Amino acid sequence: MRKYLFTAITVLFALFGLGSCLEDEGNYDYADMSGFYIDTVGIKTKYTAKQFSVFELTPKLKYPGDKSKLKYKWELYKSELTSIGNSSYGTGFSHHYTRDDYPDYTLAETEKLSARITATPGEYYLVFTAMNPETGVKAMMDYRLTVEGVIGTGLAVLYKGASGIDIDVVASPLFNGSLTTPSFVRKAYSTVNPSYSFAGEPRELVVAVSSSNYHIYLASSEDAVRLSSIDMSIEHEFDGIFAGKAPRKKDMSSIVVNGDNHFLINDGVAYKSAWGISLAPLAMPEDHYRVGGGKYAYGVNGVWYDGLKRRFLHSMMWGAEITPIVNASGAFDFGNIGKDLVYWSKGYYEGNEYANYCFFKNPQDDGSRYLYVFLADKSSGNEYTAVGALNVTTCTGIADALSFATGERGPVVFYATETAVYRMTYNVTEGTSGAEKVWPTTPLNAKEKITRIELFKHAGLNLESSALDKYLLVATYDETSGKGKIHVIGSDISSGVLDEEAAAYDFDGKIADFDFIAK
Amino acid sequence: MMKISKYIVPGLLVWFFAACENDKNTFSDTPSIYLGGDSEQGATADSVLFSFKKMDAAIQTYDLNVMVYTTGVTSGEARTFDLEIVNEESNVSPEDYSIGKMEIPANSYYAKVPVTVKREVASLDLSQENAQLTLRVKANENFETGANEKEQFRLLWCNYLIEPAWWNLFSYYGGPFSQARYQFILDYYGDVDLYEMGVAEEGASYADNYNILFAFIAELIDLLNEYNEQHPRKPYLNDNGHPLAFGEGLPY
Repeated sequence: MRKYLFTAITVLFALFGLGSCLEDEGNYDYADMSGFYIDTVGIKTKYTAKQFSVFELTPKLKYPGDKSKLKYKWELYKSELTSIGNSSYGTGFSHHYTRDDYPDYTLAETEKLSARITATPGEYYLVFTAMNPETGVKAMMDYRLTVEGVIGTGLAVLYKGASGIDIDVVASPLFNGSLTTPSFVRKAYSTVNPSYSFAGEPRELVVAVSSSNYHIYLASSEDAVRLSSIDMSIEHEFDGIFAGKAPRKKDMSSIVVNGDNHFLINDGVAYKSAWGISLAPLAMPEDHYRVGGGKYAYGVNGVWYDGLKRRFLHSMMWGAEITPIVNASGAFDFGNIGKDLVYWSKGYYEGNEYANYCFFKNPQDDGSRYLYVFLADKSSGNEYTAVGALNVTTCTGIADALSFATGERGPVVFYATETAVYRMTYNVTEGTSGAEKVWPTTPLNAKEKITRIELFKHAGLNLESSALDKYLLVATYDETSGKGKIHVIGSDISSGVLDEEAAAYDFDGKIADFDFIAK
Repeated sequence: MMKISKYIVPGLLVWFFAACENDKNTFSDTPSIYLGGDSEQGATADSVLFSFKKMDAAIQTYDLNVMVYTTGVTSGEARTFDLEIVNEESNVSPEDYSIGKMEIPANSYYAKVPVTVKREVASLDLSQENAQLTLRVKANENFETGANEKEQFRLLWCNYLIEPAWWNLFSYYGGPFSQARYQFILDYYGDVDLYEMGVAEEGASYADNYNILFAFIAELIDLLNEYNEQHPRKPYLNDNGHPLAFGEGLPY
């Protein structure tokens, strides 16, 4: 029995071993490339293109036959990487903007690439393929293409020129330490949105950037939209800005942003958002209001000025109501101001950057002006503190002031008439005030009028120290030439003492507003 | 080899004889029926609650559906079945309702039986309390009773507003449920569903989009202001007789 078993096993192993002697004839073909390839020796494989620009590239294709008989394809594939890397306009960044989030697609079907790159900013694989249709043989090459946003970072300037409302972006080494020379993106709005000319007079440009949202509010006297801060294409038209029913009248102003909490006024109605950027109206139980100004308080709540009954109002982040402030203490009665609001901004008071500076005038304007300062760093409006109410009428030229600027890092207040900038000296506690003209040191061209002033309200990028309040930006306009200008003047953050003019940038129209795009 | 056979053969015999065991399970070839509600009418597993309040005053009756399901195979002929009233779990009289045809159609597994209920029930104030009718499966020549837990179904109807499921999203920020508050919404805003408005996913306890919720509440406040201005000294009243309000943290 064992003998038979041993023989059977030996035969089986022998047959198994002989199997390796079979010749593998296969069923595949080898193609002769015969010099059909893309020469990669010494070539550049990484390219950068501005979004919406025409990008051209000629591969070093080697083919011994008739190239016109080959089929070509250029495809753009999204890379796994999201950062767009360094940009000549400052630090690049990735985003969640999806409106024009192009899918992978074919750019061209020619040997030489010449195509307008419309893909959203980011890093891409640019793949070139040449194929012999007779044999199916392909030669391929992978390039890397970084698509830069049109805008990049910089000071976005809203103005109205001969061709309408537009936005220029100034990338200045004063605000971005990684730059050595200033550069400009001109007409950024109209270039990207040629079919949506913006009606009315320009009012506000507000950059709204948080971890999940990147937008720019653009408001005029007749319209408002939210733009992508990447390329300034319109992401939300007026109706798309609001939760629920959109207002019938387009009259947006006082846009304030703190992360994902947005606040604004439209046609006298206060709006705010909570955990999302769709704005909901605020309603007052058993009463009416018509707000003329608003700011955020305590990070997420709103504090507003009711021009109808001339009083301050308060709104909570988690609620639909706006209510009068009735029990707050201090130097004035929040519920009965009795004056018309002229200007309101965040300011400084004894180390507290939550101070609010409000300039008022009498309902029957007799030239008197008042500065009310209050602290709103409490969750309830009834806990706000009114720290001072000053009559500042004696400050030179203040009755003609058309623009104001307040510092958050020191007791700095500027105001400007058409021809001069004044710095206020004041003591909130004692109620004293005065002012001196501080700019221009040499008279402006007689045709050049001041249209707006504002302290630079951003830390800047890649700077050794924060640029917040370090520059006073003075916008002027020459009606004769139709040109606007921003004078950038160094300002001491603690005292407001002005330095020399650090830069001046020209624009093709009258400047209405500006804000810094940091991402 | 013989030793192995001694063990294997008896084992196989035992296994074969096991097949002769009489199957004592509960299967019967007589079909049974069990009851359920119409999900289109918001029925739960054992009951349905319906309110006439949202309907036009002219509508005096309404058909609530009872779903009668069968087990077993279908039949080529229609089969009748019986339902009985559970008196101890009902508070209405036969004149307050009528039950539709109790028949499983030919070639069907189920029947939808309309139970016509009346807006006015003589013995009850339906603006304050529910009418209740409980039906139970009764065996007949065609069907046995089915699973115990599905042999009864309860029909409840009333003439007051039923708190919608989405009110839990609204309650803290807009106000607790009350007849007057909901009626105001229905009359001056319209019949809404906050889930459909995009405030939250169906059945969710927390809002996904508070901004839509707040915009809705703000509009209600404005509508209430408008109503009260149009009715001087006669504000819209809540169930407790006090002026109605919409807003955060209201006690009533």
